[in-house]
Amino acid sequence: MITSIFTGEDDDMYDVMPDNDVESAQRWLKLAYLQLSAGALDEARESCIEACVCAPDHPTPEGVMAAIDIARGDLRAALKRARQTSRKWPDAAIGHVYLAEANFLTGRSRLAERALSNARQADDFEAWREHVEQLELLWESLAEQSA
Amino acid sequence: MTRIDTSRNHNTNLTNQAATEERPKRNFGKVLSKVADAALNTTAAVAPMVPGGQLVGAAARGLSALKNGQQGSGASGEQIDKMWEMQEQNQVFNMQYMQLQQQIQADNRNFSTMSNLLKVRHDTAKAAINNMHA
Repeated sequence: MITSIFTGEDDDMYDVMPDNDVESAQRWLKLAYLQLSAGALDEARESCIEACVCAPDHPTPEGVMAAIDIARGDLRAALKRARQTSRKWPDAAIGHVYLAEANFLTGRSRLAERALSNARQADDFEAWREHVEQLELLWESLAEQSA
Repeated sequence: MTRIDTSRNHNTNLTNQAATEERPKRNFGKVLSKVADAALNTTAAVAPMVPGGQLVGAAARGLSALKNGQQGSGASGEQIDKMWEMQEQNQVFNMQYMQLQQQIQADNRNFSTMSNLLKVRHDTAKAAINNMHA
């Protein structure tokens, strides 16, 4: 049963998901999170797409999608998705943070720093503060080592 | 005849004087040797209690052996050269070991930072999903 949740083989599973609201998007994202934890990255992405359909006006599904693309190693898709998210919801930190990660991983350090700076201006920055600080710490450490 | 005999006596006296002056020099060598023995033995005994002292202990024992060999035979030059070479190699190894330690420390720091980041990343995403509202 648990395996079928992660792999999406059990279609009846998805009937319990309500349509077109934030609550169902949240459930899809929870499922995506579990799938991601189990290493089922493609399935997690599919669940995330469902979440995006359910709540197209919410930044979290789009942002988590960018995070999943980063985890899958598809940095081009992650960059595109995170950029869209940060432009569409500039007051939400999630898009800026994952844009910063994608930029850094593609070697664009200056753009990454700019994205983190934008994240600091976001309304919900406090929830992302620790993440942002850890990113800055790691980048500084890597920069010191490469210098 | 008398004058010649006098000069011969004078030469003999000079030789005796020189011999008398050499004697304290030989004694000084013995004293120095005893002091060196004591110092090397003490160093070898104390070395295991000091951090990194095994190397010092080995060096002290080596010097002690070298000193004994020097008294016994005259072929100590090669041993000195070998010890000198070993010391140089030891310095090179120490330098390499220090560099390796620094590298490992840097790697550890990066690993720790990375591990913290992954945990925070995971937790933040989870919280963002939990706190979703319209």
